[in-house]
Amino acid sequence: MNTKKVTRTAAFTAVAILLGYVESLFPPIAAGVKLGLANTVVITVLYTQSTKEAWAVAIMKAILCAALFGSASSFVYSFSGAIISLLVMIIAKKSNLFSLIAVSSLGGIFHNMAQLLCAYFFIGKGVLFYIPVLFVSGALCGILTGIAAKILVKRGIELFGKE
Amino acid sequence: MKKGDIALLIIAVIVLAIWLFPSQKGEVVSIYVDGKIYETLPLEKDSETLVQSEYGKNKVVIRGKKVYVTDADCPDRLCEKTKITKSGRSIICLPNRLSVVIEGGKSNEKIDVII
Repeated sequence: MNTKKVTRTAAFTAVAILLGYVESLFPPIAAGVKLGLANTVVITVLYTQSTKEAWAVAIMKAILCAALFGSASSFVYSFSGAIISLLVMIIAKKSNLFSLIAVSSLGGIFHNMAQLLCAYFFIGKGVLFYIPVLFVSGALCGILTGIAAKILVKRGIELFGKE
Repeated sequence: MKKGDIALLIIAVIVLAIWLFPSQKGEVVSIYVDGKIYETLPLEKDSETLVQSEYGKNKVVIRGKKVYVTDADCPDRLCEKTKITKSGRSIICLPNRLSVVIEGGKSNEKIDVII
């Protein structure tokens, strides 16, 4: 990574953390349902920069957000969600079967599913009844953040060019 | 829209349909703490149960076949916002590792197969 890349990745991470913070100020729509605005930044990085930088932003955002505004238990949930969701988004993007908005939607679904799996270990089978709610809400929130990311990607390529 | 988009949309609609499909009335309310059964109560009878564990405290109330949680000592108190009446639905309190599930009835058997 050269200096330009490091600086750019740091700036993207800062924006992701800020979006995560702004979102934490609003009460959740329903138990466990969050829009995931920071995902917009991760997708923008994934599409305009590289996979490596997307990993850096996603991991740093999860660690710093938990350290700044969260707790140890929220870290487990957000970290596993971030890793699985990015992994799925990278595979979905490489497969060339999905549009950007669908990639974002898949990211949202798998973010929720990873968190649910964590909750399953801590709480037990009671959480499994939430699968349909978290699946549908993840898909919908992913579509919304995907629409925002699509605009950002288009403008981002105009501004910095694709690397 | 690409091929995968359409497939994803179909799957999402199916999951939504499963969720919205009317489920049967349940019979018992099971309270779990840290994945282990804490207490089982009849849904028919009104009751108030204080659940105290090393993770925290919640009160599970059954009134008029509706189940809800009050007096939670968790920070976000999200569990107090959920009210359940049907079999298979649950109330979760992540910080206190508590889950309250209505069991019995047809839809519950379906979910048991998945596990």
